[in-house]
Amino acid sequence: MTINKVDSQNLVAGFGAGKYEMRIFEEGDEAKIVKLFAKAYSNYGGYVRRTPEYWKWCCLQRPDVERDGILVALEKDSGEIVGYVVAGKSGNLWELTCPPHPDKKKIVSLLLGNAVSYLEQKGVASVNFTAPQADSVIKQACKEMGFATSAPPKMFLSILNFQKLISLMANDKADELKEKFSETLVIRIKDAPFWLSDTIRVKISRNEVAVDDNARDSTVQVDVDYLTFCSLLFGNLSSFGAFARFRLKVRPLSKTSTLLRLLSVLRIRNCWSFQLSDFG
Amino acid sequence: MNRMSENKDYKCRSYQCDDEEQVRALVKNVFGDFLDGEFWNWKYKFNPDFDPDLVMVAEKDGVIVGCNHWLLKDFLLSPSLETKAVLGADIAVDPVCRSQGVGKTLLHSLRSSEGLKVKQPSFVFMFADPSLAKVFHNPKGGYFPAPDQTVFYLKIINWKKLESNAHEFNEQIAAGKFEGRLSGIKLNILFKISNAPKLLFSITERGVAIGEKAEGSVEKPDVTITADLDTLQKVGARKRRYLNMFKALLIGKLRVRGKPKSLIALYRNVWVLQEIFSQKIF
Repeated sequence: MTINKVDSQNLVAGFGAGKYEMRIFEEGDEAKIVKLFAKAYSNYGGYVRRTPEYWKWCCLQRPDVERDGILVALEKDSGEIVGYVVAGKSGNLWELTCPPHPDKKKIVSLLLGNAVSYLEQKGVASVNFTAPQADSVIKQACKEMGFATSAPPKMFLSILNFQKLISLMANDKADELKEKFSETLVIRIKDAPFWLSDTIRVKISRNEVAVDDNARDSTVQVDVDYLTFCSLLFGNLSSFGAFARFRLKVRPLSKTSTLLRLLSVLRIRNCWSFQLSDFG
Repeated sequence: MNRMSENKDYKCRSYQCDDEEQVRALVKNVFGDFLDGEFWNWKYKFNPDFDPDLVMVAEKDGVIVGCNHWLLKDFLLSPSLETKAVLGADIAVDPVCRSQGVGKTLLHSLRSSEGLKVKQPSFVFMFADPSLAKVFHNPKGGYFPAPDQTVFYLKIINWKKLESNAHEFNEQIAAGKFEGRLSGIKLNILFKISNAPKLLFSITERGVAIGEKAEGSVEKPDVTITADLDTLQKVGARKRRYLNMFKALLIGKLRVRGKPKSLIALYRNVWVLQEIFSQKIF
């Protein structure tokens, strides 16, 4: 497949190669684009949910993005959008999205090639974008097109409401928790920042999973520091790893195995990945 | 719950509409043109997620000396788990008022603000340079790294930014800043950087000339340096520059070839490369 140069003034149907063609974004594409994004990121967490309104603001209305910098790849026969790229004059590809597809590498190469040509015409010095580490197809396409990898901007989190967060996480896994456990877990966070409660109670019974900040009636008590607990919840650290490093104190000790299993059910297991457009 | 510390020199309060001018001026002062004009309007004023209750300003004698913007978002923790979270956007403190705890107080004030109690987000997420996060965000705001598995891909199209750095350097030479340090030097260095156009670097008494040259069109260079972009960035960074250079040479990520005389000349003038590469190069 050859990658044609973008003539941003005259992108026409038939442009591109093989079964696919490229065109500039058109009014009304937003809904399809948002669906495509949701499909591409259906196995990931760690990003802002896209709605047509949000996407319009974070891509279409972004000051360095012109309409001819938003390119969509279509399947010639069906006219279906199979990928898109949002190229900003700052050299950032704010979004490059292509969900799983038998020809994904071709489509990604087509999108990248056109975006790079477009930005070359705009006189930018470098092009950069983010993609999930696990996406081997994008990795391969980038390697073939002379992209290097570099340290990504780092995302950091700070908890504002433990009860709400743990309640959400526990309810998401409620069936599994109710089936496997019948415990009242009280977690004491030794160095909880001033805006957080230092006690969290997770009550799991056959009927319900409830989270509050009461310290009574515990069957298992855990003492843990703030960073360790956050790392456990978000999957940066395994519960066994934390216990082995003496960063979890469990009472009674006989409940250690139950606690480790409970924490590993509760924690987030999906990979996180974000696009550059999540910055703003 | 503990009580947040308060500083009597300034007070923190929520953003009000008539603060716009002062906040814009402050943000411009701190971030330069980056957040000026159109970009500021887009990011805050016309942002569908903009909420004045989630913007905190620090005021000293009626003048705004710091601000921190938060934006409420629908965040996906996993494909099936969505929650309200806030994006901790720009935190700006007037350079005159730095090191007085303004940034820390802003972070803490937002966390205990009424606006936050109403919106009830689960957490705040933000993007930062890890070295800044380590000394500021982590200890003051309870931030920790997200379980993020994102790769950053980069392609160099040209060396325009490097040329601009060289231009600035040459202006300093012309103004006499490095008087005598380049006397008698004439050195051609060819950089072969993987995944980037080749780069010819000529150092003379008058300064530095930079050009992108295809293979074969370059006069035989005195020194050839082969590296990848990551190594080039590490070696160019101001921190641990020599350690990184030594490591890269040792493991073969940085290769330098040339006649002994040219290599000695390069060693004596490596400061020129450092001056140019320590600024933004792409």
